[in-house]
Amino acid sequence: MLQLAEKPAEQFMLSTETFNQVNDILRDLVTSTRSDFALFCDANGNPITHHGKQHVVNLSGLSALAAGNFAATAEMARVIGEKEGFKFIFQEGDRRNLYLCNVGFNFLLAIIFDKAVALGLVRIFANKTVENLKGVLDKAAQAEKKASDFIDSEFGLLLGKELDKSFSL
Amino acid sequence: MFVNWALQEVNLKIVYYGPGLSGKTTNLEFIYHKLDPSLRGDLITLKTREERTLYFDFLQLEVGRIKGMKPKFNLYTIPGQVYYSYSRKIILRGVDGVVFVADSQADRMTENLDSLMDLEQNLIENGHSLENFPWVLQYNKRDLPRVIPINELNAKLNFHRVPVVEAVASRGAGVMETLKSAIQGVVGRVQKVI
Repeated sequence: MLQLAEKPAEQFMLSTETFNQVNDILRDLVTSTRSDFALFCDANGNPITHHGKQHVVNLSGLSALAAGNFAATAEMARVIGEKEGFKFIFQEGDRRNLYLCNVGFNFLLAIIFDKAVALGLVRIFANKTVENLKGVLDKAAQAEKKASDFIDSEFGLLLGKELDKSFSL
Repeated sequence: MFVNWALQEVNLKIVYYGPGLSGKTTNLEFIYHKLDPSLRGDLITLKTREERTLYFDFLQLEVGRIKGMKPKFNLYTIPGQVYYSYSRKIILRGVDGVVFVADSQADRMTENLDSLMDLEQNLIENGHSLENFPWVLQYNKRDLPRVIPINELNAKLNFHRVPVVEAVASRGAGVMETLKSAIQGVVGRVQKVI
């Protein structure tokens, strides 16, 4: 099972089937809220998938910052005695707003939307989306393949060559 | 590690650890400028007004497909100052490998040791330990006067006999070698453990 709650997982394997289901849920969210963009990433800062106007966003950067921001905010919640953490983070900009919430313990959802879109609408659909994502992830079996299926000694050798090429050592 | 089979991507997280002002951000800055822009993303830095790392620096790099998979390496630095302890814990979540950037100057040994102990403690909280985790040591600032000899640094810091790279990160010396060594360590552990 994908580890949705309780503790950080060292290794995630996401199957193509689950990936496609998550994609469908994000598409519905963006369409329903007329948001610019929705990003699903893990709590370690790895982007998983997204839907919407991708060109406006540096995906890896947003994921890393979202994960860092959410973790720091969770600690702020702990400091003021909110044991369960905050439910979401909202940032208001001049043109665009950002809504960030967790999906279980190990995943995050970020939504970027125009100022003209009501926050209440985004909140309602975000809550629904989180439940849908949890449903998919709870049912999802881990991808059958393991990392060791492809990360073998040949992989290490080929990676070394690629690194030499990229780094011009 | 995060493997996305639909996109055939494998994401690995490498964290640059070490005391304040040892040169962690300088390592990332050199990698950023050295690599072809098609192989790396933007360098994200969260700095204080005094140009010290406040939260983390982040750089993603990727190499060509290997056996059909696209490896992506997410490089993070931690804020070295003692009082940013919680930030360091957060950044170590999901870490696959560590580069410990030690300051070679004689008067910085206490800070090196404190930071290494802090790393060990944080790894234990994440279910790892320095003994069974892929990490490499970079002895930085080798160009400065009054640096500690390598054998002395090894005796004090390298008690697990991990790979060592001598570096002058401000000039790029040893930076890419360190990164390559860390990546190979991560891949080696995946082969053994997972």
